[in-house]
Amino acid sequence: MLELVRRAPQPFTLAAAVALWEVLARVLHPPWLPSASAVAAAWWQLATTGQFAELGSSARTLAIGLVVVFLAGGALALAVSLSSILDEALSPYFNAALSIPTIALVPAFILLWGLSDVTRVATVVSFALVPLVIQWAVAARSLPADLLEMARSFDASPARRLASVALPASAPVLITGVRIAVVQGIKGVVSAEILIGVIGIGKLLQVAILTFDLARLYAVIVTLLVATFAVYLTLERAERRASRRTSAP
Amino acid sequence: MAGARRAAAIVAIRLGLLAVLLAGWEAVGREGGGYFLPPFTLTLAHFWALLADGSIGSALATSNLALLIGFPLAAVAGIPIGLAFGRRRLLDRSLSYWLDLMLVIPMIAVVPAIIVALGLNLSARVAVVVLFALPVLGMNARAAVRIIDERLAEMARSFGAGPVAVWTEVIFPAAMPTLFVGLRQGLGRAISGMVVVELTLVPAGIGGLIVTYRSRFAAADLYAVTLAILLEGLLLMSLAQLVEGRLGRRPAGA
Repeated sequence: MLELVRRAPQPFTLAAAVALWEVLARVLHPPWLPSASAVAAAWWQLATTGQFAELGSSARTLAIGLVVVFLAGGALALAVSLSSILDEALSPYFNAALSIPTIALVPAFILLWGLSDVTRVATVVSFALVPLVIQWAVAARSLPADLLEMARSFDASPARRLASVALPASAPVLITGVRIAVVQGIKGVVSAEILIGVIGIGKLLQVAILTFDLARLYAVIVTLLVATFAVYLTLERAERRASRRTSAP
Repeated sequence: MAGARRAAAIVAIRLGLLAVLLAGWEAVGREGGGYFLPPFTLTLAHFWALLADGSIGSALATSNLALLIGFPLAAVAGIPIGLAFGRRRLLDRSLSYWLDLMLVIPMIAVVPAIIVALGLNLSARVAVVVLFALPVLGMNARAAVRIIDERLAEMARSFGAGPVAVWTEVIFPAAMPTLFVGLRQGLGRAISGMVVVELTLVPAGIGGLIVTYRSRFAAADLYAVTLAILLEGLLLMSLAQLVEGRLGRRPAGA
């Protein structure tokens, strides 16, 4: 048993944290903390009454935003990796984009585009684009020139060189970019919806706050956190698998 | 010669892009922006007006109080946690996923729970700043001491260095650059946290101003205040980069 804990301690510490939460909430009864079991019950109610369908709109907007991010980001990363002049010229802009608190832009987006999907898509793009470009430019710059040269001398077509050499070689860094962009995109869509207040996750939170239903509020928050972390862990695993394949002889 | 031409091209692209962006904003604002997109020059005029009558200054002062308290708190709490994770394997494997989790999740969604617990006040704003900055400070501190060359620590020990001396003479000097990277990134996230909490539920400071102007549809004022926040972010982060460049270097020989 002890050996099992030592080998994979995370499930045990997670269970301990939930147990601690339950005990604290039941013993101390802080008015601001519903017990874990009450939150689970509220979650079940949300799930069975179909309230989480609201999240479908969030997911769809996120997907649209990410497609824009991947297309624009891919083009920008390629341009920057091909031209060192462009790279150096744009670097202060990228640096500035990473330095500003992006969330401050959202009220301006809301003023510009109101409750339309454009507001949320623009937020996703503003959160995710530059981090992706920076990561993907690294991938494009670190292509194995010797392997590409060899493929060329064996008469491989450009498409073939891309599929058989370039993509597999840069897969880990590319997937890192995807992971960063997806995580940033989730932050973007959630931020936009919370500041808008009447759609998606923002609506779910708003309803819980206005009805003072703390268990429900926590249920929504926990759902969001678990979903985000699950997406992150999945992409991280894909990244590890890709880098194992690359480093294998 | 080629170098000079290259430098000229870079400057031309930089200034050209800036000019295109601002001219585009101005043109769209004048032609079809309507009420919600005032031209750049009008926004700038409002920016100066709000700066002159002290609105921006006092709002920034209020906002930054939360940053001024919260960021050091996050550093004092987060860095030791990260150091402990970096040096103790079992502890790291058992608990460091919480830092990962905090780094990845949209922290803005946790803000309502913080407000419920602490109220609509300064302590809630400070707590949000801490929550935003802590994970990145912790993760960088963890990374900083994980990569230390064990042979150096071992050698120091065999020359009679105690645990304290190993930390001060070997581990900290080698960890400095990464710790400073953490401080810079942490500051960036702390600024985001400061803005997030004011925009969502605690209408104070600069975020409060934005919320007010948004509800009044005072577009030019809203853009002006947004500009002020973005400028503060740029300024603080450039300062942090400067400090990182000065102090965050690996000392000679380490």
